[in-house]
Amino acid sequence: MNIMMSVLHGLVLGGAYGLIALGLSLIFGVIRIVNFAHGAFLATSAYLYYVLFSSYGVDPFLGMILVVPIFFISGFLLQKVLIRPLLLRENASVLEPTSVMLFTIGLDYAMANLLLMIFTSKYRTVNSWSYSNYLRLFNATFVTQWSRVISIILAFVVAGILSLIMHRTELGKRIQAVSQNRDAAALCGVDVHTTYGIAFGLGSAAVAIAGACMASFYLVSPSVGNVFGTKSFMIVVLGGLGSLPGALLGGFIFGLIESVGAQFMTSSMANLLSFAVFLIVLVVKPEGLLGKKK
Amino acid sequence: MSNIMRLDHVTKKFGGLTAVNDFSGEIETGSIVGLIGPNGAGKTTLFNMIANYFHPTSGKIYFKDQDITEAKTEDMAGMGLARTFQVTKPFGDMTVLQNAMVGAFLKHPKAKDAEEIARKTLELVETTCDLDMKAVHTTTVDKKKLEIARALSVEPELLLLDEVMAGCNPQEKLELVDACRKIRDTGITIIIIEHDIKTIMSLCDKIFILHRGEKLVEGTPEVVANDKRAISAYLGEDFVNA
Amino acid sequence: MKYKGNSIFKGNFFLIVLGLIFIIVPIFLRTYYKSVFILICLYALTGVAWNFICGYVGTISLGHCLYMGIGAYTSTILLEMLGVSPWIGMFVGAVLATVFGVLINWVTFRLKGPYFTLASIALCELIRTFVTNTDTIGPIRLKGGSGWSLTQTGYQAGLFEFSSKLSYYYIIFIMLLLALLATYKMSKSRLGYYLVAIRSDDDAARSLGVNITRCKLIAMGISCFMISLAGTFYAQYFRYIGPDTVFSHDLAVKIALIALIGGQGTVMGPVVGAIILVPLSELLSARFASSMAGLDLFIYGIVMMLVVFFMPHGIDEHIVRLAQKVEERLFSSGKKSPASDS
Repeated sequence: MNIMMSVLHGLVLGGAYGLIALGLSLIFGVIRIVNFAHGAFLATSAYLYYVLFSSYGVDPFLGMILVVPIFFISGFLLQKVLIRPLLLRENASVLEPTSVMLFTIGLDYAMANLLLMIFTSKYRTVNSWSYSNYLRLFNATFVTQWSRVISIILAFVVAGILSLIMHRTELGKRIQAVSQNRDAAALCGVDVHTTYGIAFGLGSAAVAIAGACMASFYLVSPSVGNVFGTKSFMIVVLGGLGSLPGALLGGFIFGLIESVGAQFMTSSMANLLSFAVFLIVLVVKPEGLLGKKK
Repeated sequence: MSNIMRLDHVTKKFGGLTAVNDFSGEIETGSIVGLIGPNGAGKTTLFNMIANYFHPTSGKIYFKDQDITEAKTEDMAGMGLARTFQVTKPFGDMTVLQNAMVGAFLKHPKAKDAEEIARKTLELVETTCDLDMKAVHTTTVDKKKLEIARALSVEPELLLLDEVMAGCNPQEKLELVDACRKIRDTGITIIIIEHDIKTIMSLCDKIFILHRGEKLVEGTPEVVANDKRAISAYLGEDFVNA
Repeated sequence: MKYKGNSIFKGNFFLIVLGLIFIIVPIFLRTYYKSVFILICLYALTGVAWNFICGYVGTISLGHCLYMGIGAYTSTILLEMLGVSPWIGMFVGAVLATVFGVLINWVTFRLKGPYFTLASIALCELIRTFVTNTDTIGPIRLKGGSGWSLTQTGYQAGLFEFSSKLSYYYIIFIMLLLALLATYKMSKSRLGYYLVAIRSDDDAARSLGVNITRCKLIAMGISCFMISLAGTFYAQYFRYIGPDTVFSHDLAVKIALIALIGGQGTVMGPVVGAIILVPLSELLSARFASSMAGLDLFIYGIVMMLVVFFMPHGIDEHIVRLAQKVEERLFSSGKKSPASDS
C-alpha cells in the first residue's frame, strides 16, 4: 500500500505547492506581469518567521498576524511606487514590453542575495510545534507533519477567500474590470493603479501565508526562493496563468508526480519528470490546464 | 483586361457572427478599387482574408489565377501582395529609411540594393520627414506614408491600403490621393478601404459597398452613386444632393 | 556623422582606444588582473551570444547557459575519453549545441513573452537535474553531480592548455572580436533588419514577407554556436565543469543581465555590460569573499533595477552619446560644429 500512502503524501505536498503558487497566479491574472521576485518574496517571509521564532519564540502561524499585513503593504507600495511608472511608460510606447519583467528579475536577485549576505547559506529550521509533531493515520502507516496538514487546509482557505474577494465584492469587480481591460476600466472611473496595488498586495500577502507554512515544514535557506520560485512558475503555467483553481491543480499534479514518482525512481529523477510534464503541457496547451484561451 | 484577383463566394464566421457573407468579386489588373461601407461592414475582415491573416470559413480566393485561400501570411509578400494596417505599425526602433528597407530586403538581399529601393518608394509617396529619424517620432501622416512606402518596397503587384487617410487633414489627403495615383501609374493594382466617400469616388475605378458583411453594390463611381440601395444604406440623401 | 572627414578613426575613436587598451594593457598586469580581463571577455562573449537572438528579437531566455554547457561537456568528454583536442572538440560541441538549440526552440518559439522565459528556465533546470543524476549514458560518462575535473596535459597548446594567462586571454579576446564582428555584420544585413522588425511588430514583419520562425531559428543557431564555444573555453580555463556551474540558473541570469544592462540589441552593449559588471563583482567579491557570498549577484540585481528605470535601452546608448560628444570636441576644435540634434 505504498502507492496509496505516496498519493496521500503527494496531495499534502501538492497543497503546499499550490498555496505557494497562488500569489503568483493572482498577480499575473490581474496585472499580466510575471513576478519573477516571487521566490525571493517567499524566502524573505520565511526568514522573517525564522527571526520571529528564534528570537521571540513566536510560532510562524501566529507570526502571520504581523508578517502578512507587512507583505500586503509592501506589495501595494512596490506596485504603486516602482512598477506603476514602468507600466505607464509601456503604455506610451511599445519599446520596452519587458521592462517590468526585467525589473522583477533584478529585484529577485537583489533580495535573494541580500538574504544570502545577511543569513549566509546555512540551513535553518523553525522548530515549532507543527514542525516537530506529526499526524498519524491508518495505524501510523501515514505520518506527516502537522504543518503540512495546516498547509493544505490553508491552501483551500486562501484560495477560497481570494475567490470570494474576486467574485463577491465590489473590490473584486473592480479588479476583474481592470484585468479585462485596463483602459476601459479607467474610463469608467476605476482607479487602475490603486486596484493593481491592492492586487499586488493580496498576492504578496498570499506569499507570506505560504511562507509561514514553508518555514514550518521545510528548511529555511536563501535557496528556497530559487527552488520553490521556479516550481511555482511551472505550477502556475501548468494550471493556467492567472487561474486560482489552476494553481491548486498544478500544485497537486506536481506533488503527486514527485511523491508517487519517488516510489519508482530517485526523487531528483521524479523532479525531472515534473519538469518534463510542465514543458509538454506548455507546448501542447500554452494557456495551461484551466487557463482561458486568449 | 485581365483580373489580378478573384473572390469566389467568400464567407467568414467568428463563432456565431458572420463577418463576411458570400462575397464574390473581381479586381482588374492596374485599377484602383475602393471598398466602402459603414463600421463593422466587414471591410477589414475581407482584407485580412485576402492578405491571409486568417482564412475564410468557406469560399476561394484567387490571386493571379492561383488559389491562395490557405496560403501563409508571410508568403503573400513574396507572391506580390502587400498590405498596410489600419492602425499603423511602424518598427519604432528603426529609422524611417530602415523601416522601408525591411520591405525591400524581400527581393534584394543586399543592404545597398534594399536601401536604393527604399529611398525610391519613400520618394514616390513624398515622405517629407528626415529619413534618419526614428519612426516612432514621425507625424501621423508620415507614419501613414511610411506604411505605404514600406509595403511598396516589397515591390508588389497588388497593394491593400486599409484606411490610410484616416486622421489626415484635407491637404494631407490630397497628397495621399496623389501618391495612390502615382503608384497605380507604375502598374500596381490597389484595393483601398476608406471612409471619405468623396475621396474614394474621385480616386477609384471601381467600388464595392459592403453592408453587414454582404456586398450591396459594385460598379464604377457613377453607378454606385446613383444606386438606390447604396444611397439608403450608406451614402445618404445628402451625398446625392451635394 | 557631424564632421566630415574620411579617416576611419573618426566616429570610432573610442572604440579603437578601447581595443588598444584590451590588446596592450593586460601584458603589463599582475596575474590576478589578467584573470579579470579574461573574465570580462568571457562574459562579454556569452552576452554577445545571448544578445544575438534574445537581445535583437526581444525574447528573454533565462536558460542560455544550457548551450554553453553542451559545448563545455562535449569538448571535455571528447578530450577525456577519446583524447580529441578541444580545438576540434569545441566545434563538435558547437555543432551539437546548434542542432539542439534549433530543434528545442523550434518548439519553444511558439511561446510568447514570459511563457518563453519560463520554458527556458525549466529547460535548463531539466538538463541540470538530468546531468546531476546521470553518471553515464551508454558509453558516455557524464559523471553526475561531481562533474569533470580536467586532467593536466602539461601545458600543451595543441590540447588547449597554456602555462600563461596571457595565452588564454588572447584566445578569448579573439573569440570575442569574431563574435562582435559577426554581430556587426548581422546587424547591417537582412537578418539584422528582420530581427529588429520582429521585435517591434511581428504582424507587420510577417506582412512584409518575413518568415519569423526561420529568422529566429537562424539567429538562435548562431547564438548557440557562439555560446558553446565560450563553454569550451570555460571548461579549459577553469579546468572543472559540473552541472552546478555550467547549467546553473545563476549563470544563465548573469549572462542575460550583462547583455540587458549593457544594451539589448546593440553590438557593443554586452561588452559594455561586462566591462562594468565583471570587474565590479570580481573586485567586491575578492574584498569581501569570505564574509559576503552573494554580494556580486546582489549588485547585478540592483544595477538591473536601476537600468530598467533610468536607461531602458541599456547603458551602451548613453556611453555612445557621451563618446560622440567628447570626440566631437576633440576633433572639431577650432571649427564650430553644428548643434547636435540627438
